[in-house]
Amino acid sequence: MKNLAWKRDVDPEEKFGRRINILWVGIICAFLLLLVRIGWLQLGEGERYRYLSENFRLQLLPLPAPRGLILDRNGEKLAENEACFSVAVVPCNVNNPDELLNSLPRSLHIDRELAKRKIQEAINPFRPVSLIKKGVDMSTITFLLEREEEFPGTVVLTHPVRHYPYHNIASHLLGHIGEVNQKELSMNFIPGVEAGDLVGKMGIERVYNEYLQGKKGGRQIEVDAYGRPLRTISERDASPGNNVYLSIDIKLQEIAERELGERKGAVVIGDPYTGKILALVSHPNFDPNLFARGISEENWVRLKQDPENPLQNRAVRGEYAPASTFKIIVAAAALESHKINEKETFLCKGELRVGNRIFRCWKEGGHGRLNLEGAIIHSCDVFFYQLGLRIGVDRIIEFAHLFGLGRPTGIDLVSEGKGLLPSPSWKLRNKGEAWYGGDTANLSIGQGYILVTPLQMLGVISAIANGGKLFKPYLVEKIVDPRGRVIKEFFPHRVGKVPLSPSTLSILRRALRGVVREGTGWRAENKVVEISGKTGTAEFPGGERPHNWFIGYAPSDNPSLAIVVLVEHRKEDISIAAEITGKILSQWFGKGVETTSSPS
Amino acid sequence: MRTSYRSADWVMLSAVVALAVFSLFHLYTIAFPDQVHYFFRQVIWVGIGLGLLLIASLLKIGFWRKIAYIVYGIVLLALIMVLFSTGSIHGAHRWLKIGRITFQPSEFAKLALILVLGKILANKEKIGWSEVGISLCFAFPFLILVAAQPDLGSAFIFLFLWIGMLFLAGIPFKRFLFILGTIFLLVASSYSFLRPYQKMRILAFLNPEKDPLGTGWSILQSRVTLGSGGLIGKGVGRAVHTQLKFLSQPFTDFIFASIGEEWGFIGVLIILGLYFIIITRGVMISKENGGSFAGLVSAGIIILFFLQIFINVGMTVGIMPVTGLPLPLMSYGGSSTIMFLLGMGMLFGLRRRY
Repeated sequence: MKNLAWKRDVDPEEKFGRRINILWVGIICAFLLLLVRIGWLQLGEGERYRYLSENFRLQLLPLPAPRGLILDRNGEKLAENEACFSVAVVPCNVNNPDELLNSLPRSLHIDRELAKRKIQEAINPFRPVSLIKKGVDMSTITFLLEREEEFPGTVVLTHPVRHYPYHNIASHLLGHIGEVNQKELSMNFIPGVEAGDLVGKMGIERVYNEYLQGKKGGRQIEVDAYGRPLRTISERDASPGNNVYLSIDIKLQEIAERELGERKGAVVIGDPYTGKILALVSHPNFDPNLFARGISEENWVRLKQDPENPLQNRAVRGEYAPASTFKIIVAAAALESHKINEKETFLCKGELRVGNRIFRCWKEGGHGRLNLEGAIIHSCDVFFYQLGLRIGVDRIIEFAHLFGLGRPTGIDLVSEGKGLLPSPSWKLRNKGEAWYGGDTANLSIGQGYILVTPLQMLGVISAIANGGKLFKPYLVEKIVDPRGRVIKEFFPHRVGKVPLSPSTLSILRRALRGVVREGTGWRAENKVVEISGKTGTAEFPGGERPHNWFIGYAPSDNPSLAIVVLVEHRKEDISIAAEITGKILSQWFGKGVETTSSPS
Repeated sequence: MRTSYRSADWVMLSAVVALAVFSLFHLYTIAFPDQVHYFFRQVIWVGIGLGLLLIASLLKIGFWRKIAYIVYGIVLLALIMVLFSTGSIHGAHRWLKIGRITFQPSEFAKLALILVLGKILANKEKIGWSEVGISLCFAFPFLILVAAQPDLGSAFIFLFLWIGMLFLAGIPFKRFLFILGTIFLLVASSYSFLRPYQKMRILAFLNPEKDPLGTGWSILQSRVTLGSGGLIGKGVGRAVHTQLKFLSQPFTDFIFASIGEEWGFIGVLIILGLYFIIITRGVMISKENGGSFAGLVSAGIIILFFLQIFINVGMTVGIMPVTGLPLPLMSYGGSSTIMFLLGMGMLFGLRRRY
């Protein structure tokens, strides 16, 4: 009782003093703790640490993490890792770099100047510096290991190296890896990544780098005078990256690459009901294996300076005039605005005067009288000049926008092109000129200022196939950790809806089937699968070879694939894109008939 | 009484100046010859800091009381601006650039928080929930803003300052334990809500031995550097391990290891002794001022001073996680140097005047 009373009446000043005394005692204890610890390190262990410090007997061996695999939808490996030997030196154990470098066998192909610089400028002299980029063969490795003592400071390291078994196939979409640069190091602070590490630079390797990267391990070791490990001080295993499963089917991808052949261009194949991409081809391409161990200067310059630009992904970044494939959008806009019906016809005499300019049809002499279906089937330009002028530029632009043109699709790849959707205000702003009737006529056949990417056109044709839905295209189905647990799954994402009535759809679909059965796309016709689609030929005023398009879907009555084929500056005077489409799809669906039940 | 105070102040001032001068000398020996520019910059900062120390020691206690909220407001604004500033060092946004001067608002936030907490908690008969709540409302924004930089070390400093000053202000013991328990539960439960990769980062932060390439390597090197100094050290300018750049951040985070290498256990004893003199004098000043604003603020400065010494040296010798908190009056860096010298100046000015 007495005690309690005392507590209650305690003078605040006294209470403060008592509490600060408690604090002070705590501080004294903390200082003692530090002193004991420092004393132990400096007096107890001091001799050992001095020895370690003065004789450079510590080494740091990084254990690189294998990158995650990239697999196609059926689990086929598109990017994997191979074990590879390399030779490195620990800078603090090298007395005379020149002597060491000269004594090492020639079969290592060491760049002596570069290696010497690397040894002298090493940030952490305990850490091995790699001397060579290429793998070393077993006989050289055995030779080195047998004569370890002759090469003090040299270590043989095993590490995983990226390998792409399909080489050039799907190179743009897989991408490649490369040494992390200063900007990446400072900008997005990928945990555990340091200078000299390899990170994704393009394609899936880049976009999903965070998942693929894995976590480096390392081993701190004490070594003897010859650099041989004596004792491990601390160790952490590397943890491999996660595996990325693509929606790509590598078999379809291979067929598409083969059929596009040596032509410049792109092929994109997707599922019209989900936006999943099944094949994405861009040609010319490159071999990502060149980058796997760090690309050589020579190869890099060659790829970078190639006028054909093999590093560019034409399917998502290439921007082209859509030409007659755009007529699908003009027709949809006209039907939905009730500016034309199935029966109405226009006369094509081979040319049309708009203002004071003459606009020609591709067919000299003209098509005669045509209704909308006929005009699509035979791709009549004069019909569409008149139709476009009737519905007006604003309506066309509105529908083009609804179909997803003029903006990036949002596919999971970097530096996607967004194309160009012109409008009167755009023209005034950028060209300082008013929009004329002639501009509308040009736009109606997909020429003039308008630019689209093949991937955007896949969205357009998919919307016709699926009844007007616009999906965000995507390449990755799921990401799975090394133990097989799904850590992220991707689902279709609808980003828009084109208002297309059932009657509009049926007219357009009938016409698109007609294009292949009896019209400009007849080269796509085959015995295996019915294809619907639209051709396009983007002409150039200067007499350059035109680009050739085919956008379509198959099977016609129950579409399971949408496809876009673009051939840049075609060499053949035929509708080559339609022919390529026919070959790809007949092989694909034909294979389906042989092996499993009919896909239709 | 009066004369003994006068002498107490001079002992403390001597200790502070001795540390500042020693830090410059030591920095010169390990930076020479190719990084001497660090030394010259630090000379300027120590100069500015000593000037501020002089000014602060002349100011009356009422001045700090008056400007507490204003200082808090300015620092709060600066901390918000830091988050939106471009450019980061090692992935963290800690610096604010005004003209050609960059500084770390989080350092000054430590003093600002001490002033505000002193004002709220001073001369209270009883520390009730309302005082706890109001003081938390001031501590919490700093904590969150600094944690978002991310600078978890400084965030913990704010938390400990708040707890420490509540304790000294005389919060009932049961209430104090309740708050400690709540904080513990909050930290533990928020951990379970984190994503796996965030957990991994925190684990690496708490247990860097698991990360032999990164912080684990720094720690091993730090131990080797410090330990290799032995009893008498390797001698002036002979801190080979530090100079060969085996030690990471030798001027800032791991300066103490290089002191141990160059000056040995004896040097370390002297440095820690000087720190202890300053803390002891600070505790006496605080005690004489009782639970007033002056007493609480001086105690706050001492808590801050002590915590940073303990965490930094603890990190160097491997008993605390790696946080990047500078060693007071030793580590290279303008904001920290100026802030601590200013804080020391405030301690002098806070003596009771008879």
